[in-house]
Amino acid sequence: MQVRTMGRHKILIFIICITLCTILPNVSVEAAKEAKEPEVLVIYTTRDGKMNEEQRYLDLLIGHFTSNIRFISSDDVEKSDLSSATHLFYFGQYSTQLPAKFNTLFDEYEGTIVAIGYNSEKIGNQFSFIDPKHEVTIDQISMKSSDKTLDITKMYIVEIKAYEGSEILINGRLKEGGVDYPVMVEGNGNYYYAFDTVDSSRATLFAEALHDVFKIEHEEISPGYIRLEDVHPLVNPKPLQEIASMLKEKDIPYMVAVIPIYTNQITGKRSTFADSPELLKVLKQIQKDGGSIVLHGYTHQFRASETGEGFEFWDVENNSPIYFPEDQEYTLKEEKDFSSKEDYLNYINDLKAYEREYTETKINQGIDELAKYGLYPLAFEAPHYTMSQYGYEILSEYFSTYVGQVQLSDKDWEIMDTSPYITSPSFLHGMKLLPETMGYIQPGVEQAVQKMMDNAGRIRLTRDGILAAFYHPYLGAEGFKELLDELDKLPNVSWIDLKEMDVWVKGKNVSIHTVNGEIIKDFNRLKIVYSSMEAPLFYLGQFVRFAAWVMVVIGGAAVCVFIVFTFRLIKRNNQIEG
Amino acid sequence: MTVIANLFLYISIFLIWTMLFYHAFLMLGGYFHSLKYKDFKKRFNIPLEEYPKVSILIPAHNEEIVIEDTIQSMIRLDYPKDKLEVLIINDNSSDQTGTIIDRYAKEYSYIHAVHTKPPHAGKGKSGALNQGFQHSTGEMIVVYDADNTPEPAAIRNLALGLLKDKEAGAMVGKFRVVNANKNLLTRLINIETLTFQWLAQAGRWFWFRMATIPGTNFAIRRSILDELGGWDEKALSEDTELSIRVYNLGYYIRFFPEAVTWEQEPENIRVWWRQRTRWARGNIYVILKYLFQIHKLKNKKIVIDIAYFLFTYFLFFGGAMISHLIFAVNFVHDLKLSIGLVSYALLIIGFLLFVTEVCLALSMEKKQLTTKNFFIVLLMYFTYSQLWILLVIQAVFLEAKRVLLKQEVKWYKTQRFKQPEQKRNSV
Repeated sequence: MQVRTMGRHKILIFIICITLCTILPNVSVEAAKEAKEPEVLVIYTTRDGKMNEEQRYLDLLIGHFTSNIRFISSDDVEKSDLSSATHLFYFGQYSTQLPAKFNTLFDEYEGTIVAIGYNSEKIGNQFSFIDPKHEVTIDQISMKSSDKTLDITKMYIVEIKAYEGSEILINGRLKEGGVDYPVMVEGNGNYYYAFDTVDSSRATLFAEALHDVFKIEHEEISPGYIRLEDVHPLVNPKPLQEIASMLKEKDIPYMVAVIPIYTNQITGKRSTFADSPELLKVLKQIQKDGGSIVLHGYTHQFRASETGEGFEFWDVENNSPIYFPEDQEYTLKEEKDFSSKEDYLNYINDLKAYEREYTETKINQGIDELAKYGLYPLAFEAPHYTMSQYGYEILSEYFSTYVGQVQLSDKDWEIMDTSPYITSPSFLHGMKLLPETMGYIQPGVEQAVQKMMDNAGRIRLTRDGILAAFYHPYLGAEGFKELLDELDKLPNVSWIDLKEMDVWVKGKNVSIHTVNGEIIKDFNRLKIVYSSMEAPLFYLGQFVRFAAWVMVVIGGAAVCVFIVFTFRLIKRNNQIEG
Repeated sequence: MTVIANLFLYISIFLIWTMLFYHAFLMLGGYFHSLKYKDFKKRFNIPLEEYPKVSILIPAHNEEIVIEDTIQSMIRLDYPKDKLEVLIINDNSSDQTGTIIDRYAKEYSYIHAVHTKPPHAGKGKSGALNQGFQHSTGEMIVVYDADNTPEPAAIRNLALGLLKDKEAGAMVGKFRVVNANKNLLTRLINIETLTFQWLAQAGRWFWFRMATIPGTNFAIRRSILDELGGWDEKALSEDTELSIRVYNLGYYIRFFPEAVTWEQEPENIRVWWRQRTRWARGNIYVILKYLFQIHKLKNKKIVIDIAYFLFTYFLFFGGAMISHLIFAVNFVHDLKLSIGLVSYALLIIGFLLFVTEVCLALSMEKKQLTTKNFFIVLLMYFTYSQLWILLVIQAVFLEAKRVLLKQEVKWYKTQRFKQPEQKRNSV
């Protein structure tokens, strides 16, 4: 009996084990596919061995698919660096000899490799499906699989010969000659891209093709946003209010980039929202309705300049990050000015320490200043989109979401660009970028709206390209209506509501995050309000005005009562006399 | 600058409106009292022999112009003369006052002349009253100023009122202005005195069982004066001071408008100014005397009055001054006041409250709410009331100087005016 029972148990256990063993691997594989982000390693070859704006732009593109991106110079890369990468990018910015290890570096690598620009022939035999030659000039690119075509300014690419077995994904053409050149080619599961630069004017189709590289099929829906720009305490609330009503009527969520302090350039007088109760009322209503507040700096200025005009997180005069107080003149030293590397590093650390302190102070002041008046920023946008790489790193400790374009180099603030789609590049250290792609209505520029729509057309070559525009409310509601009418015509747009996204803000004093469209905030209200005199006075004034109206009502009632009593006494007196 | 201006404006608005609402509240009480005060008289139905003995004290310092009228009105009093004693204190007069008093004293047994002598002479009203009190024998003491002509029923109403209300330490009557139609100033004063009595006296009596002893036309129990040791000779407004001490003994002071006296009011602004400055200084003296010993007061009700005085003389006038100043400065230099539209609403309602309260008070008296008086009330807000602000500034200044320099209290006697034979009911 006993033996038989045991036998039964064994059979049962055996069946269970078999069942589990057959089901579990499938489950876990599926789960892994779902959960595991691509892990990208970008190996770059630049003249100075350092990353520059080109790599950062690539970072923007890859960031759309994964936030797990590493960059490493071809001088420093080791075989072990490749081990965990699911996708490998090689970006050869100029034609050069690669270290000998490259002959075999990729031999055991099984993931997808994307080579960009030069030196594809020097990274083992992975790219034997093409044969690079010299450069050719093209002025149009098009998707092979669709009719998506983009005219570009004349630009050279690496001319390649694509062998059989490879597939051309993007074609380039010099329109006047009518000759086609392959721009992006796939072979053996690897990809080659013939441009040696990437930026927003040419990379839209490449951005689209990356969906194939990562085998991630995003839906063909364009996210979009409208941002009302440079709203500071002295902005006229009337057009803002009108624009807000228009957007509310159309049920379009939007953003308002707010600068909490306005500084008068000449007098130095600071204005806060305490000085503009009407504007504050409008902004609070906006926050309640479809709008979200974006912190657009604290004063939108560094040196004396008008709020909304100046830079705040970039020293334009020295074209450098903010390393010194505004009134201090200086010349940045270079490594050769120091006797030892250590001294130089100490020097750099001091500069960065100042930049950190300055940036953090401004960010915290900005958040606090808004929170004081019941406005809760959900994202950040640097004035003029300028910020250093270290600035982004600092900012990422405070904000989960960045709005606008990004500065791609610490050498020059003018090197900035935008991504065609939402992305989390590694240089934003976890922040999600909601790029602005369409531009804005520039006063005096003809066909400004049409130009923005042209930009939208280009962005739409990417399946989930973002359509984002901004507008300065001081230009009036009329101009906005014109823009909105056009924006409204764009098909298949999903307007972004920051409140519906999972965003967080972690200021020193104020924490904000969103849950199901609700703004949840956590801060010591008294501490924030009483950090300066303006806010308590503002609230006191608000209370006094309310109390004053109550007094007017009670006083008015008393006046009426006294009039009634007076007439009653007059009547009584008359009766006595009569 | 803007911050400070806004802050001060808020504070002044708060101060001013606390007072305005308090006044409106008092006026409401005054109105209710006007409807029912006569009921008290029903208790007066007692035989003549039970009437209390009354001593009337009339301090007179150079009062030859008015004293005779006053004595005449005493003779006309409707009160058993065997229960009446009129003591006219001739306080160091250099005119014919003493002679006139002596003449009447000879003729009427119940009229007595008290001539003060140094060192007790010329010490002011309190001193004179204390002198008269020493010579008095009545169980009720009534005080009249030398320019008063009480109506015949006045003493009966005061004395019987005190007899029938054991809780009352003093009984205060109403005074009317005999020369109300003399000129614009006396018309304004007439309006002011009626409003003061119906709003502050009747209103406080109705809500708090409180009233302030005025300088004239009131009765007080002899026992109380004995206990208090008479009047405070240092006090410039001996009446307010006395009121507080009466409360402190646990009594209340009843305002009973059935006891009416007629008195003269200043006919020119200079006299008015000096008289009112004295009152204001007197009240400031009281504030300073009691403010820092409120915890020692037995009757906590007094706090209401001390607070009222404090509010009136420092905070209300301070608030009014600040808001005037801010509006003036704002006129020349934009202070960017954030108060907005509501300030205009407040100004208008404040003005209307003033007008309706005064009109209500006037309507409690016969033939006072005339068209003419109505327009004077409108005018009053912008003239007479504003003059008070300046007056209080001077009073505060003088009192501060007195305290700082430890000056002695100087008694200024109000100048009298000869009244034509009249007519008091034609006012």
